[in-house]
Amino acid sequence: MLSTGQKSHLFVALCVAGVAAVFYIFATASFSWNEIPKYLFAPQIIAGARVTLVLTVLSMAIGIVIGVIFAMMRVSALRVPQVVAAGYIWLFRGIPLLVQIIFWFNLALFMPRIGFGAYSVSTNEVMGSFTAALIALSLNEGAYMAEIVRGGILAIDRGQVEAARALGLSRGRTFRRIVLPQALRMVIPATGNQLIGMLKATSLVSVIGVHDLLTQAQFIYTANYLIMELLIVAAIWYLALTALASLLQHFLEKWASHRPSDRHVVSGKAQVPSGSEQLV
Amino acid sequence: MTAPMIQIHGLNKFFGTVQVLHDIDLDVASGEVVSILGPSGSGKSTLLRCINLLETFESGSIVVDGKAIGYRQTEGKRRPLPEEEIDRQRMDIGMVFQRFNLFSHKTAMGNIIEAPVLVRGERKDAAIAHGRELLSKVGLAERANAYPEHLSGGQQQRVAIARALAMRPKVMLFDEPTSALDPESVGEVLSVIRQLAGEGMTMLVVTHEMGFAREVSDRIVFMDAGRIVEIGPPGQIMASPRNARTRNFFSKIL
Repeated sequence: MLSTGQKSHLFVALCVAGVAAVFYIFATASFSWNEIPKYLFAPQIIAGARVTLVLTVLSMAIGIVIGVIFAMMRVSALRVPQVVAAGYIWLFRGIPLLVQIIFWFNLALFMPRIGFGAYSVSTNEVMGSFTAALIALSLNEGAYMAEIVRGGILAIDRGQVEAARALGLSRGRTFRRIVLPQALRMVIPATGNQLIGMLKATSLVSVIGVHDLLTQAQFIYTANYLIMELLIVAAIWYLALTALASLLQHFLEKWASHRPSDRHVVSGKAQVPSGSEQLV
Repeated sequence: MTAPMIQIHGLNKFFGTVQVLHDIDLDVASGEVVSILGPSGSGKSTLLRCINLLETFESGSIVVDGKAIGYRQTEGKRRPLPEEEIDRQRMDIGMVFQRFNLFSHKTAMGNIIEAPVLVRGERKDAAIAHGRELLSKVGLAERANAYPEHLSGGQQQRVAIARALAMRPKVMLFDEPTSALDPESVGEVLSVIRQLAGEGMTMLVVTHEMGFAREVSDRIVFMDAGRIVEIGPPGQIMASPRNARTRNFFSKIL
């Protein structure tokens, strides 16, 4: 039998061999490796990465706002908002994102004009591919964030709510000042995961021709047939962006767990940051 | 003779179909300290929670400082007061909980000034000055900037007392304030409550600390199965109870 030390040496050796084998296979494949650096910073690719980033940030921001609103409705004591929120979550979490993207893009097919009576606009004019993508991603994200935020709200100790009410804080103030800031702090790790998921999910919008990273790579490779090379270029960008997002998540989590101790009141001025303002 | 600070009359409270409080009558004079004792499940905490409407009640009335709490009789019908009115009434009634219930995202001072600034509209610097006074009163002047997680149970409960006092309440309710504490911390919390009693604060205290209740209370209320069984001065209730259930309870405990 092998000792623990020998086992770990064997494990390392196997890992190295595995990585070497993968490198060998890729190195001998018929990629034009030298093409990759040429396209890595091509203007179209940079523009695509920018669209991907903008789409991610906007959809996440709108998704978080929608999520907080629907989470509030979901935990409300009133039946109607509860049911509406449950229905929303069921619908937008249940339909595949790709289907939703294509749906919003094709809205004009059965709803040529949007508006009321005399005031209406052509659907095709407002519902460009970027808008359709933004709506689809935000609404989908909103459904997931609603469930995440609801979990955060439910995790807050009821005793703190009672204490706030006993001090004379209204229901609304108790929620805004006591429950929500703590709930939002609590959902930071899960939201970070959603952000990373969103970065990659935006590639789905390539089917409706938003000029995102993947679409731009596709434009280029349909012209020059460097399919694998451009997919690798796109992959490198996605990896770089997710690395950035992970870093952001890391710092946010650190900030949330490490409270800024001793900032309050020493000067009579400083205020404890409330999580809500910084996150939403 | 002035009217009692708290007047509870004919109070009945149900959880669903189960009646947990039966015809409670209790007056507490201004400056009086009344302890409520009794076995668990006897309705002590529920009674306390009715006074600041953390629990609703089905019939009877509670009057604090001349104001009927929670409900109004109009045209012979009993209606709940609007929420804003109830929020306002709660400002005069301080409550201290068994599990402290400090806001964990706020410092000790943040906990204390939250309601005075937000609800009473006090200026922040004034609230902080008052908060400092209260913190030194409970012996925690140096911990103003500490978050609850960095405070011991006894310290958290003392901050919770300061937080309730910051609203300048007319009445303080203590719901088993030392039950969640380790034995060493019990004393520090009790001495704060004792000090308040000495200052003439009107207090209702639900507790299992018999020695403390005997020492600090003007009267003791013994409850069992949702009813007040006996009310009297501590010496009489504890040493020579008239009721068999009271006798039984104290013979087990003392």
